[in-house]
This record gives sequence, C-alpha cells and structure tokens, in this order.
Amino acid sequence: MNLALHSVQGLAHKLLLLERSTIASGLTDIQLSLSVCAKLQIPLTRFAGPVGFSSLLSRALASASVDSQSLQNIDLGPDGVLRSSEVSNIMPTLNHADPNLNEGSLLIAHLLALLKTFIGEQLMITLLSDAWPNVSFDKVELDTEEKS
Amino acid sequence: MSKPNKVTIRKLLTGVPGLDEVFGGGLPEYSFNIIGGTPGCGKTTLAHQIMFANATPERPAIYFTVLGEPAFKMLRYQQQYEFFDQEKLKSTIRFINLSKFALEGDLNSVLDEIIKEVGSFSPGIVVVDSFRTMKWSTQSGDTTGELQAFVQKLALYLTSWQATTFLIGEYSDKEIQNHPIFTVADGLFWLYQKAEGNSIVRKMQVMKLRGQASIPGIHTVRITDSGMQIFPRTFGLINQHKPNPAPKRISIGVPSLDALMGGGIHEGNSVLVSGPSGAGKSILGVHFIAKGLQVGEPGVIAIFEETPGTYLRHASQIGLDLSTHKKAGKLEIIYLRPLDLSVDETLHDIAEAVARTGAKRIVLDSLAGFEMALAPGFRTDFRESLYRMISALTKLGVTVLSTIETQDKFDSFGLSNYNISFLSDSIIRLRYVSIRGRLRKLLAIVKMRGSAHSNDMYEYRITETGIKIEKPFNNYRGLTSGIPAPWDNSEESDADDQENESE
Repeated sequence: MNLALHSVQGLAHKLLLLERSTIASGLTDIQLSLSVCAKLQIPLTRFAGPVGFSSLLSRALASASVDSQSLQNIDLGPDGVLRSSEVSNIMPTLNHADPNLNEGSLLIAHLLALLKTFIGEQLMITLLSDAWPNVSFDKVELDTEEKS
Repeated sequence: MSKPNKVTIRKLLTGVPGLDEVFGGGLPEYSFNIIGGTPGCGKTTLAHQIMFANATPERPAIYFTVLGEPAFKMLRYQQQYEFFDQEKLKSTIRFINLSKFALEGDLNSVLDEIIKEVGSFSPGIVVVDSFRTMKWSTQSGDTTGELQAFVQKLALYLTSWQATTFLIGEYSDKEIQNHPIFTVADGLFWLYQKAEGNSIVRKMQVMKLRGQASIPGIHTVRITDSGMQIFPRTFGLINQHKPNPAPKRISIGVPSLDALMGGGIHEGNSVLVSGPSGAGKSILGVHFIAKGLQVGEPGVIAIFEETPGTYLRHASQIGLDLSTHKKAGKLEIIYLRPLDLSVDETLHDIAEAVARTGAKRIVLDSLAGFEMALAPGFRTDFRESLYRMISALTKLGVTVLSTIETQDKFDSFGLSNYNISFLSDSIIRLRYVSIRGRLRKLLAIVKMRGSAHSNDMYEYRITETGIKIEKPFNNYRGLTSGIPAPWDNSEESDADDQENESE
C-alpha cells in the first residue's frame, strides 16, 4: 500500500462516518462513499475545474477498483458523478487484507491520497472544510509517512 | 491658497527581494497589472510570491486558474518554494478554477463568476492565471471587442473593490506594442528566459507602471528554493551616495608604491592593476587588503580563480595574516565560480558582504575570471556592466582594487584586453621586460585621476615579504615595448643592472 494512502485511512473513515450520520440509514458503505465523493465534487470543481475533478476521481476509482470487485461496477459519468445500478446489491468483496479500510472508505482514501500527493495536507483540509463547513478538520491527525 | 492634498498611493511590498526597488518602493495598491512572458519564465511563481507576501486574514487573496497550468500540478510545484506558507491556505488564500466558463468562451460568465467570488471573499489580491487563454477562447468567436470590454469591466470592478490585481499571460514581444488590453493595465511586467550555452538567463522589465518612477532597463532574475529574486540594475544602491566628497589618501600597503602615487590612493577610488600572469597583481591586492585591516578598515575580496584557502595561503607566504581577520568577521572572501552569473548577482553578493563587514576596501581578483564566471549573454555587455558595478561600489565609499591579466606583447604597452581603463581612477601597470637575457619586472603608474604621480618606470621584485620597489629603469629606452635597450651611455646601464642583480 502506498504511503499517502496509508496516511489518509483515518480521515477517509471519518468522512464515511460523517456521511452515515447525516444520511438516511440503509445505505451501504459504497453508496455512502459515492455520496462523499459527490459532496467533494463542489469544492474540488471550484478548485480544479470539472475536468480536474473528473480526472482525479477517475484515477481514484481505478486505483480503488484493483482492491475491490464491487467498485468495478461503478462508472464515472461525464458530469463527474459516480453511478452504478448494482450498488444496492453489492456485497462486500474486498480483496486486500487491511481491516482498517472497508470498500466504502477505500475509494475515499484513494481520492484523499491523490489530493495529498498533489496539493498537500493543508490545502486538502481546506477543501474538506468547504464541503463540510460545520466540521473541524484542524485537529485531524493524518498518519505521517514517517509513522508508516 | 494652499494646494489640496493629493491622493496617497500606498505601496505594497512584494516579498520578492529586489523587486520593490525596481518598482520604485513597492507596488501601487489597487493597481491592475499584467505579468507577461514566455512559458517557464516564472510568471506564476512571481504572482504566487507576491500573493503569499500580501494575503492576510483581513485582506485575503483569490487565485483564479483559467485554462493554463492545472491547479493540482501548479500547486504541487509552487508549494516547494519557501514562501509558500501552508497556514495561509486555511482561510487567507483561495484557489478557484474558471475553466468551465472559459471553455465555453463566455466572457460574461467568467466576469460574473469573478465578481461573485470577489464580492463574497473581498480579497486584497486577485490573480487571474492564465489570462491569455481567455483571449484564445474569445478569438475563435471573433470577439476581440468583447475581450477589451471584459478587461475594462474587470479592471474597474476589481479596483473599485480595492483589490490589487495581476493578470498572467503569455504574449509575444510583437503583441506588447498594440494589444488593447495593455492600455487598461496600470503595470506591465515582463519576464524573459533564454538559454545561452549551458546557462539559463532570466530577466525582467517593468514596461509600464503608472504613478511612480520605476527603474528602467532589464534586470536579472534568479529563481531558487526561496522563490524569485530580482537583481536591480542599480544594485540596491539607488539612494547611496559617496560619503566623502574630499577623500583622504590611503595606503596601498606598499609604502614605496604609495610614494610613487603622491602619498597613496584616494579613498573611494577605483584602482586597476594590470599585468601578465605571475607579475604579482594578486599579491598587490593582498597588500592592499592587509593594510586596510591593519588600520581598522574591514575588507572584501571577490575571487574568481583561486579558492579562498589558496588565497589565504599565498598571503601567509608573504607574512600577511588574513585568516585571523576573516575569523573575526573583518574580512570576507567571496568565491564565485559558477558559469551562469550576472554582474548584478555578483555585485549583490559583494554589496551584502560590504554591509556585513562594514568594508572600506574591496579587491576584485580578477576581472578576467569574473568574465568567465558570467553567463555568455552577460559577457557581451561586460564593459557596461563593469562600469555600473564599479561605479556602484565606489558610491558606497569603498576603495576598489581590481586586477586584470594582460597578455604582454613585446611591441606595445596595452593596459588591458577590455578597453576598460576609463573605469579606473588609477592604473598600475605591471609587465615583464627582457634585459640581458633575463625577465625583469617593471611597474608604472599610468594614470592617477586628480593627483600627481611618478612618471618613472620602476623595477620591482616579489620577495618573501611581498612586493618591493627598486630603482627606476632610467637607463633604458623602449621599456614599454618589453625589449628595452640601453641609452647611449651603456656603461652606466650595465653598472645599474649589475647593482640590481646583486641584491
């Protein structure tokens, strides 16, 4: 697992939990992760443009799909929205062994890892704050690469 | 009737070393500026550096990216610079992408979006990067007039909202002449980059700046991990003046040579020591610096050929201890050997060393080595650059001794290969003369501005205590050719020779 991905696992999980707390119950983790990505679409498009956001998300999806068969059923539309008709029927099919990452947080973690790689932690946190203005990310501790 | 108070234009400090001086004290607040130049010349870096220096929580900054470098990539690189303050990303600096609107070629939508963001964020600094791409978008629809109207509205709006604005664009020199958007701009700043041999030379020019006197001409630019730095043509010495209009005489460090020069050289003058390899030019420089240190005048030596260690060793070999003064901070030795320097950068280093040490004496050893250290493009105007440099140094009130190697020809008495004698208040010429099958050393004071000096040509020797002036070669003619012959009373010449040889 790459170091950037490892360092954002906790944050990805936090975003998934945040989404679970605000959205009606019954959604799978993958559906929640699509919702997280949809929320990030606004600040990320504002920051990098629609093409910038789509290209980043498509890369995150491709990387995450290697470890998750379920994510292979998801497509990125030209409008930058992730869709899958099979989402509601998806059963967990995680291939990798890391218990800290479920399929939902896997996609988010890959997206965050890309952000961290390109623009760094601080700007990533700023963009997350734009998406969740009522949540404080200042005290979020990312696992540093040294720790890993 | 009293004159009404004029509007005060506050000047923003740019955070780019040297640039405020070029601008004439800083950048006018609320000005509408264009940063232009070819790809890779540092436009984005310059804008970022100014933005990070000026963005505050009270007056934040917005950086609009259009169709140029993608934001992800741009920031990946920009945050490598030391000026990139991560803390300011929390709430002080915003990056907003306008590509969606620009791709549609709808300038009104772009303007509306900028107005919306500016209205909600109230920034003190606004950057639109790359502005040129918007022009391409509109040109496809033949909307040149629309572009001009857009720029005018943008300038009016952003100025009214008290924002200092930078539009970044890639333009050719030809477009600068008559492009309508340039008439709207208060400031036009051009960056250049050119590969010359194995060197990259960067330069910048203020082509227009309303409301204040900027320094004309082209200034050297260097980009390092710290960001961009400008080396003004005025070397940071624009307000410096020679402190002593009636300079005193100072010793060059060889008393018998002082005597030939009417009691020493004038303080604050420029002295050129010209001669062939091995003639003792550097040793004379060591004498000059050591004498200064002895009487409490700190010094700076800029060397381009020898290493500092070698230089100090040579000094100690003639009994002059420079190391102690160096350790005490009274002497700095600047060793410059890179092959892409400009005169401006070199002088910047020297001027800083002068400020640190309080130097009163400087040795440049040698000008030929200095020329070699310059990027090829800067060698073409070496004379002009030297003139600016030496003038600037003597403006500081320091006395400059430069050495220059000449190739001795045995049919003439050239002073240097650069035709730069006009730069010097005094010229000391060293050369070899061939007498009776031996190379002997000759010293002549060729020029001393504002002072009487000896017109004789003296023999000198380099001894274990340095330079020692002997008797003049009075009994020879044709000394300047290097192959003198005795005057008619040859017996006297022979006697004189034998006396000198026996010493």
